[in-house]
Amino acid sequence: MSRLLCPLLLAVLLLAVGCGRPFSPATPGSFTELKDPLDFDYRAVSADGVVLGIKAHKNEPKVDLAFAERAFEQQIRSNGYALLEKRDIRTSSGFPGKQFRMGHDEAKNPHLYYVTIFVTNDYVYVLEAGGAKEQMLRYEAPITWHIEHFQMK
Amino acid sequence: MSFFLLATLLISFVQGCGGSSKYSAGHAERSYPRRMSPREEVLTTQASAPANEASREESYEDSKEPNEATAMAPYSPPPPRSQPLAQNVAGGQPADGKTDATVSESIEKEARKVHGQRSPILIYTANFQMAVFEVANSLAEVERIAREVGGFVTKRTDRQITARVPAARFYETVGRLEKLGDVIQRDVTAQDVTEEYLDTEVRLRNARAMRDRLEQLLAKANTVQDSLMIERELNRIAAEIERMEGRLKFLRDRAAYSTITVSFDPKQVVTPPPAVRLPFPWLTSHSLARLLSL
Repeated sequence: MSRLLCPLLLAVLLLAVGCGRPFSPATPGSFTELKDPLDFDYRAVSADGVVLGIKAHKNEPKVDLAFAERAFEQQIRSNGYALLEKRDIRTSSGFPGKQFRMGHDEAKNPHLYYVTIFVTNDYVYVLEAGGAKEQMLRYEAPITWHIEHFQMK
Repeated sequence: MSFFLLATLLISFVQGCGGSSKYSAGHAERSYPRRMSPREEVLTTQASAPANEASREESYEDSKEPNEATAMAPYSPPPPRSQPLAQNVAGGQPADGKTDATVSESIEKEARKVHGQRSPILIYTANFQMAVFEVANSLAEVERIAREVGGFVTKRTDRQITARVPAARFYETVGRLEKLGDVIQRDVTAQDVTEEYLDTEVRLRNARAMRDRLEQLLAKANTVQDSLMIERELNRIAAEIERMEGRLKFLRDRAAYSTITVSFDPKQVVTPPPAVRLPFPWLTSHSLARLLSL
């Protein structure tokens, strides 16, 4: 009985841990993951204030990447962000996504804000990265690595 | 035979030409004086007997309405006038019996006549609502562009800048400003003030003429009461002239230099509410401020 129970408990435990977030984040070396991500499923911060955030939303009602891209672009315009660039992104496993690179002044200082979207059948993953323009440009490589090594479940 | 035929044809042709020119002349004679329009008839009935024949002719010229043929023909400037319209008016009372209404009608006609010979007077205005990013640099850039095209800055705050640029370089400036950043809203207008300008110009000319006439009358005034009355009228006319001069100066200035305002304040964005609010939490839950609040 106990021989049967142990693997079952282990499986339930693993499932429970996995259920917390339907993805595996990749935290760059220069960032530390926050224990309490507040509204996010994951948040990490660099020593000089660049923040990474991930949130997985149920894909309900169902949309695809093209739909999400168009809807998101409209949303950006109404929020007053300056859309600087739109990029096609792929994770290291080849999963396609879309990245919006935006600019916005916070307390009169120029900030950069990247939002990357991946859409699967079950989830819409929103990966955010933001910070002062200077720092964001410095952290370009770790941010790219963080996105490329993001794993969906 | 062929000689006779040729001669006959030649004679017919000459007669034909002569006939048509005779007809034209006759037509011109028959059509002059043409039938007066109802408004002209009103003018004529309101006018008392003119002082002399010359003034009657001028009055006729003034009240002449463009008929269909002349309305479509290219504009030819009116012959120089010996006296401005208002010179017929003395002491605020129409000397030739014209009422204020008829004088102003004549002025309007004058303005309409003059309107055709000038290019339109346009006041260009542009308002840009830019996304709030690198505001300080963008403001400095707007100022630099305005100076480069020969303009100047009239107002600058932390989030907004207003510049005046020469009208001739308006569109060039607008094109350069559009490249400065992400334009959220653009509003470019060209207001045609030609009619107002020309109307005011004609009214001003007549007011000046009236002032000159009043000054002459003042010099000839015999009684104190007459002098006071004329002076009162002079003051009124002077104030009117100042007001019109100011308005013309304002219009000239606005037309010569276009006004361009660039704003970086998101609160001023006037976007129509979306017809449908999309029910996706992933769409509205992101924001830089929220990401950065640890």
